[in-house]
Amino acid sequence: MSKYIFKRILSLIPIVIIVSVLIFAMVRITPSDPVAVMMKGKKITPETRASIEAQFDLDKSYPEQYICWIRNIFKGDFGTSFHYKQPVLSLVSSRLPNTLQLVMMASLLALLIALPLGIVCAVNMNRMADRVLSLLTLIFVSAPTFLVGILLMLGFAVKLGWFPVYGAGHNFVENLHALFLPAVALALNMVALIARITRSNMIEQLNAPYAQTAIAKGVPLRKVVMGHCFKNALIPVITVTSIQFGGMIVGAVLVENVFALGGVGALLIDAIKQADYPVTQSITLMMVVVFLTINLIVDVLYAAIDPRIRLDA
Amino acid sequence: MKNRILAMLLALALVVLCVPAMAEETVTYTVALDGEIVAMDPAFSYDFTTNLVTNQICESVLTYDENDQLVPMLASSWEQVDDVTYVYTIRDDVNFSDGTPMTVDDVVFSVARHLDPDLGSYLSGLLYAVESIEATGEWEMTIKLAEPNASFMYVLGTAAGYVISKANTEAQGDLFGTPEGTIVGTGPFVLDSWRSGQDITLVPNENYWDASFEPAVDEIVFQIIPEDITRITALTSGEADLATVLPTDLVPMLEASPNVDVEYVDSMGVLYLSFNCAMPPFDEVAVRQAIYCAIDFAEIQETIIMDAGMPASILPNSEALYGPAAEEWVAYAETVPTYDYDVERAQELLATSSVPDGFSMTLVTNEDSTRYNVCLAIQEDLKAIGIDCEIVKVSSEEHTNYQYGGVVDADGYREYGMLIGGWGADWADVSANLEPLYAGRNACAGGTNAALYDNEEVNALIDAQAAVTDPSERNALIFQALDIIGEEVPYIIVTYPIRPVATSTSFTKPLTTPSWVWNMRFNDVAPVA
Repeated sequence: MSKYIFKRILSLIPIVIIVSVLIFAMVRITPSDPVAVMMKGKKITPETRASIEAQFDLDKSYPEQYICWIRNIFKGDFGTSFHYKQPVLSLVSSRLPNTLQLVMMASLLALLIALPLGIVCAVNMNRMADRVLSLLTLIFVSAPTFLVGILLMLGFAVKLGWFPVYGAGHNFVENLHALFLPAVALALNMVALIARITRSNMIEQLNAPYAQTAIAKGVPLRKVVMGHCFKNALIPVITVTSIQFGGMIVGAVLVENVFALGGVGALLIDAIKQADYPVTQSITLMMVVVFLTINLIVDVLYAAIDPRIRLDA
Repeated sequence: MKNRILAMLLALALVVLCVPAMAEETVTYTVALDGEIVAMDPAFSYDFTTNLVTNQICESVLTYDENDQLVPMLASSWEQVDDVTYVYTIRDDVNFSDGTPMTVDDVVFSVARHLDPDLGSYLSGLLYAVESIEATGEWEMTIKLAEPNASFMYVLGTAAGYVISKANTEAQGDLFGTPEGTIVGTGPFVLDSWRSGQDITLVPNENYWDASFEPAVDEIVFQIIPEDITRITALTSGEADLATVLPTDLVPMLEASPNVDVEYVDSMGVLYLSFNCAMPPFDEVAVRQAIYCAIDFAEIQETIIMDAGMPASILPNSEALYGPAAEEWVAYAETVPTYDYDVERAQELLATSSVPDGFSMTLVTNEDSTRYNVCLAIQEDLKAIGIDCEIVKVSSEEHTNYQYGGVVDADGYREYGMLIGGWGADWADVSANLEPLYAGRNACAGGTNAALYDNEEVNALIDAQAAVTDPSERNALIFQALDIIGEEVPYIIVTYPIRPVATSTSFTKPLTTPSWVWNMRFNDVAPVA
């Protein structure tokens, strides 16, 4: 098992290197003068320009800049933001907790809504309940997150006053309250996907010989569904949810902006707009590493459950 | 299993719904910002978001009063001794928020640090003429310029004149200006907390040097709300008390709300169309005049710009910059040439040029909806004289890059035929728009002259007026330059923009003048009884 994990980690190294080169190149592909962007077009002396270029390694060639970037990351330094004049790491670390809490709450909510939906649909396959609920999830997935966020805010925060209009709160409990509406807005898209996967897997399990046997032997349907089939159907659902989790960190940006939560997604989008290379490339790389790590964990869990996988590898 | 899920759901619902609304005992003045501030540092305080915060913590050597006139603040007086020497007498009764007294060394340090190339201060460009900054007495600072510059006197009223504690700033090192650092100024409020990307809280300065100051609020919270709709909802629902960066198309929502007052403030700026005068055929005056006449600007003003700006002539500034001899400007404005919408005249003008049958060109704009709509109207109007106008829509930062010469072709020429851009004066001086936009020396990389206009006669007149202090004499020289500019039209002034400032009706309004980026302070803000 440990040999399998080691091999998997080794195989990630070339991926990270290639991706980091791609990120570095893509950030610089648009024609842009970082110093002009940094100075907002204000008049500066050649000495100031030279000093800024030296501070941000902009006087070096691209390959040298790339090596500096990677070398500094190993020293724990992700660079300094062109725009905010502060280390990328402190910008990210002050925003990450909110984003993570939001994404976790959204994932949890999505599971709480989607799993029962999927099960009900599977048990009532092709009957009225299935059709209605499937349509509902279709509406969920096609509703733009941005619009849902604004509607939820206008309804529950402004009209009813149950939630704050903006902000994330100052402590964990306040956060739970303040992040509830944003989490709902973010969860709705996920609900559809998870519900569909739960439904199809549950149908597969319900039609499997073991389930049919159990039903034929007179085991109550509830017990077959919850006791046997649900557990088996859960594995692919967990995979999809965990991979979605990574994507949501950036996908949360729309919700973060509507509810003024100040998260990592919003920081990334701002950085792209402002041609803030250090912030853009570092957050993107962090996202890639998060994705790969989640993938790795899921793969390892699979291998732990199913020995065939690690034998094949 | 089902019971467990139900229990979890109930628990979550309980936690979420039972958190009581925060009991409001403290008086909080909430300001909705459109984004995170750049830094808590005078060196990067040069925009309508960052300055709203730093203006409360820092005070400047000079400032602008309710009529935008220069008045002393941390100086007790100042005088211009000769063409290049300015002497400031510093107040001896001021202390910083940490209780330490403010000395002339702190003042010299605060102004001189903007000249440090390693700092990359946004204000460094304003101080370009400075040769030396020295303490010449216990309470006296002397600034010498390398060359005469009539507008230098205004500089210490901007963030370049903000005074911060030398001891604290040096002790903070790299942390200064960041959420992990602290800033010590002389202002009526001090930084309490700053949660990056979320909010900044200020509380009254207990050591404020002006004993007559009685704060009417317990805290000022700057809430970062990037989404326009949310910012406006926060105002109309009473959760925010002031917001300044507001999209024109949503202002009617605010005007309809009983909780909000909307005031329009002259921006001291222009929205312009610049011709790339270095690129054929825009180097021909007839082509520029033809395009001016071919576009129906009256219609654009009425249907697109509406309340966001005032109708413009060829003058590079509105009344806000008419200065001490304003009546001369009013009279001059009557005599300037006009280029009213007239397709026949446009065709005749174009017929005299090297491109009588029209040509293809690019027009660069950013994503701002007003600007983009103006571009669409222009594109339509130009078809009538055979000009095929391609609109190039880019992000705001890319646009900044275009506007200040960051995007050039292989030969170093700017890559646009025309560009729609904005410029706002830093202070209410008669040449505050003229010099940046029309002086040939600014037609460089990083320069503000987006038309790349370089006329020796105009350059000489701009330099000459800068060296003169008598208002009428200066006006005479400026009008001579404007005579040439009015004929050659390197820019078309689309409108003189005005900015909406929205305030809550439950607090008194802070002073809001065209110079508010430097002088909007919340000292007097108080709840309305």
